Amino acid sequence: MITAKFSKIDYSRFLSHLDLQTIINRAIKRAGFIINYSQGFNPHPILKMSPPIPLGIKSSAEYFTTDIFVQDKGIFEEKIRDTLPKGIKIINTWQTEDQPKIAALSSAIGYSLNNLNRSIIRNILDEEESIISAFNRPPEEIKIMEDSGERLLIILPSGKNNIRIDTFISVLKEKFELSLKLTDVEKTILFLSHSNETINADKYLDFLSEKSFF
Amino acid sequence: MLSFDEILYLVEKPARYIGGEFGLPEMKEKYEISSCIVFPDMYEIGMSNLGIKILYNIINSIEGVVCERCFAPWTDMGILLKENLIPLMSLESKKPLKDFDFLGFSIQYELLFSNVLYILDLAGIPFKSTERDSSFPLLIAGGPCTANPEPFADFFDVICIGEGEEVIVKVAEILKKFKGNKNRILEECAIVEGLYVPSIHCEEGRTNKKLIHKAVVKDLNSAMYPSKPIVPNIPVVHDRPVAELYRGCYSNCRFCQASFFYRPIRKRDPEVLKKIILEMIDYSGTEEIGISSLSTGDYPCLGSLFSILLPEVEKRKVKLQLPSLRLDSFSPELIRNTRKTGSLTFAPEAGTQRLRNVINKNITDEDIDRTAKIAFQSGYKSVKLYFMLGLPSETEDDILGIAEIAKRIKRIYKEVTSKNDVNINISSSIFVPKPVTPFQWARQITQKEMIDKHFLLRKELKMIKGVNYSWSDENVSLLEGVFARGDKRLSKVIEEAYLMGAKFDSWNEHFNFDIWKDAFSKNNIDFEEYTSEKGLDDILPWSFIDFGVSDGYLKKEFQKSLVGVTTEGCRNECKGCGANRLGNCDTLGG
Repeated sequence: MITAKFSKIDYSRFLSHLDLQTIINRAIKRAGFIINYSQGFNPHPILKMSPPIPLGIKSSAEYFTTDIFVQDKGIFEEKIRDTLPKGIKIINTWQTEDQPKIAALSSAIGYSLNNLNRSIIRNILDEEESIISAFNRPPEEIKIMEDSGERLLIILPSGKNNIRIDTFISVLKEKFELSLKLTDVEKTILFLSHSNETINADKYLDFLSEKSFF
Repeated sequence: MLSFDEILYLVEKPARYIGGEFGLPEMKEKYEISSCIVFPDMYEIGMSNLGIKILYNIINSIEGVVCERCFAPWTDMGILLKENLIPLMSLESKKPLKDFDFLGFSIQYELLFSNVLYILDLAGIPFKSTERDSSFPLLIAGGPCTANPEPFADFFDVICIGEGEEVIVKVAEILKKFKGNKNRILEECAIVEGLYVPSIHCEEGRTNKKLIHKAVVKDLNSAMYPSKPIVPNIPVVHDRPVAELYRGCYSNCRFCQASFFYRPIRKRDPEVLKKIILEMIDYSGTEEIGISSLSTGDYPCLGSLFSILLPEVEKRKVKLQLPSLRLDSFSPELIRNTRKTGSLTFAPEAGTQRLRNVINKNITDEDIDRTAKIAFQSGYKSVKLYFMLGLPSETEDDILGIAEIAKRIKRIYKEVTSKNDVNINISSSIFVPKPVTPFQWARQITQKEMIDKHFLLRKELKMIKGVNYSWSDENVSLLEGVFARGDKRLSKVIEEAYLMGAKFDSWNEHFNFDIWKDAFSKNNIDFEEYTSEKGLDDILPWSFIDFGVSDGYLKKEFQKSLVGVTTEGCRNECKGCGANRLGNCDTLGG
């Protein structure tokens, strides 16, 4: 099993979840790897993706898992680099014995709000409580934090209590009259809920790949 | 005002407009000439077209020349571009179309004419060649509609009649030399074989004199082929790379424009095809691969192609998709080796042997029965049958014959499977007399006749369980007929209709016949002038073009059709159509 963390930036952020599945399957085949197929009536290549995000949101924390065997994950990274469309970049890969359960375990997503000026950042932080209460959720489910540079980090629940980032932004725009653009949003962290802890998906994959080979 | 990036959030399927697909060639940073291939229909249709893939590849390989792509933005995007004053741009570098040196339009179908103007409008380019000076890109048209370029000739500076592969290289060289001097460019283009320059070749009054000779590629084996195609990021209509087996057609169906337009017959050798196909599979990573030609079953080397290809294709877990198989070419082996879409398609075109003889579709009832039997034995439960209504000399019996075929197929299914659950889909289109065919002089039936024929067939087929019937729109059929044999006066009508809102006419939800009716009557033009029967000695709007096939041959075929005499296909013997004057024709006889 190979799991790759990838980014979709520039115009590739307009590629849908479903289209990306086809794109990645084809990219793996182009790179010369043979993907294991599922058993059953309609066999299809085994490919698992992290949960979908709204169309048009940049991301530097997408994941896919594919059932291929490679001697060295470095070779995989090197070969697939040239077979993906523009804007899709592999950031890291992990080789594991078991199939990581990224989609099932995902519990929250961290989004960066970029290109903000000081006054908007102040504005949002001042309104934090009323913003969170606008969603009628337990307060711990939504977090708004100042990040380095002119940025904010927003953490929203994923999975069955999912709050869509585009919904969140439009609430901020309408109710609080903030000028925000979806072009300035980027998904930067995927959090998983693992053994009663919330951890970065990267950590989980580190753990899983160490368990597999040491 | 919103930016282009911002309006992408507001449109359906923004991926249509982003470019960046896998397989894009390295774009030259320094170049002398920039060009853009424009396909006047949406991305999903355009990216399925083989012609533009071929030309895109060739133009990008010319030193000092770059080529990009542009498709018709769907109406939601069109409105947003206009509202936000964003000019229509190319996919690759997002450069406004009006900033290119030349634009190559692919005109595939009569109902796309209004979309040519839709694109020019969005790009901020004046519609008429005479309204554009050297500061605008040179507009070139190509594609199957150039069999009769007159209805849209006023909009273009240059029209490439026939195959563009070699001609486009010459155009690029002319542009390199005379960039900025439109008059000189047009003069130079006018002497290139295959290029029609309306402003120069349109002297007062036409005769039957051949002023333009169709361009053909002499040898397909050495011609450049896009074996490393762009792989679209979103599903397109034909979501697979395609290898072209041969050009032209060995059959002589008298209604078929493609058969006569693409002569002489030139084939690719199996070894060349094998190389192309395996390269396409490995490069594209797609699940399917297609092979294409006007009648794949007639490709003389199909057996040897399959024997060298199939083991390799199976090893790569790829499915082979075979379109357009003529019924009489089906063999059990062929059916076994193709992708099972669950439905088998064939096109008898007419309901009786008599009428099939008239149109020279040399298929017998026994052929139909045998094919259906083989198909059902290999597990097919569903068949699709294509027919044409309104063919020359058609009677009620010919229409009832379609229902008879459906009944027979149903019976054969029962005999083979002992079941009744067969699915027979019958669809009919209205016969359109096309230029460069023996029927170019024939009349197209009136809308009243179309309606009556549809009613009759619908009534007959309703009585057979398991049969679904679909038929083409009478208004669309009429317009197809008018434009197919239209002349220069129609450019005014097209412009009028566009200004009244006509666009995406090939899409049901956008087609508005009232607009077209208005546009014709405003210009005092009767549909019937174009749909009526022509005299054999009339000067037709396309008479000034030499397509290779001689007028004499077409007349002879037309006269044979009147008495129901058939002409064999070209595989065993050359029938003397004349196309071999343009290049070696691959019939065994000639």
